[in-house]
Amino acid sequence: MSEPRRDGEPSDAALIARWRGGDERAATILVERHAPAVSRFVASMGERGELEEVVQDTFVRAFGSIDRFREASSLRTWLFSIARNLCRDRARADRRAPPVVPIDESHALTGEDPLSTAVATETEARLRAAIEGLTETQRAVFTLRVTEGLSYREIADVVETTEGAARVHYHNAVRMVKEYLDE
Amino acid sequence: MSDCTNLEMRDALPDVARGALGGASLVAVESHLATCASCRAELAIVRTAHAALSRTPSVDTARIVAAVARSSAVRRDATAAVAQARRRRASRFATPTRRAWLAAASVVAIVGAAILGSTMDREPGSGGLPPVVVQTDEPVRAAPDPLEPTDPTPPRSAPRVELVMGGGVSDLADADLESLLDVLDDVDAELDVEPAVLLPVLEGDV
Repeated sequence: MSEPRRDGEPSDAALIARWRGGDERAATILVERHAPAVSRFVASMGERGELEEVVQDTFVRAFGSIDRFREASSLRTWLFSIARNLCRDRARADRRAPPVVPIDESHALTGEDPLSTAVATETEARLRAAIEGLTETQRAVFTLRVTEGLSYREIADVVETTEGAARVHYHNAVRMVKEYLDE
Repeated sequence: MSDCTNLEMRDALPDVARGALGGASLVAVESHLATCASCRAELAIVRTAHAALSRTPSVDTARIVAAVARSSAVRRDATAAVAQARRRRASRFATPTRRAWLAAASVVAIVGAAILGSTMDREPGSGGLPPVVVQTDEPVRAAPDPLEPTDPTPPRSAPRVELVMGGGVSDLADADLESLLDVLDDVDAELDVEPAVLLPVLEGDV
């Protein structure tokens, strides 16, 4: 899922140029534009309690090294790369198993029929458990493809691999999720 | 149920789940889905995953912006401090007197390094002692050719004087001292006549 900019809104490149020129408002627009996607990605990578801290660190690092951003990839792809590295660093530091993303009951798939809601919630819980069983790379690839709609080329940039390898990771992830759900 | 082998269709399923596919591409996928149970099952999984993972956790963007601004301010201050320190350091050598001292120190360092380098280039064990000429009875022999049979009879030749490093003039016997004086006389004579002949001898021995 993406938050496309509305008509008339400046591009990321234009906002970065403005921010470099000292326009603090440009940073606000960029954060508001990309923070939702980054937070979704960080959540899918298993961060819960420190999610906001990771998202904040992602932006602080990105703006701190914005001079190194060559615009060969999109700003969002670059933010995903930074967020992923932060998640990996934290996972290594904590030596903890990535927890399942908490299920928010207020966002049930079908909120009208309690039985449907229960089934949907159970299905989602199993699916989350299946995703939790993926490798870190498979989880990142699966999330970026399914949730954010990134192309394999963009995903390859984020997880530092080739386009073909990203595709293989995605299909392996789908197969593993299927197998888990079929058990 | 085995996986569908049509990877092009399977690759498009996340876009279908996100509602991002349209036109002829969507028609093609829907047509495929009508006949492929595996892809229908996969699309159901992808749709559920999309619904589950697409919920956006609430984050305080104002707090993030404030953190970015703080960090940028700190970085700007640090950069300015570093630049100021560099300017101060550069200004230390800005006066003509300091520049002259720096140039003098550089010259001394270069000359010292050159002397040290020439000392270290000498043969190990020479200890920087002056060259001494000694006379040996051993004949000069060319290196044996491995393809030629070895001649058991050593060739006869005149005794040879060679220049070696080490020792001192006071260590020489009278005969050696005379040989040294003879060689020095020859060297002086040759220097006057043909300096070019002498050069290879000196280069090869020193």
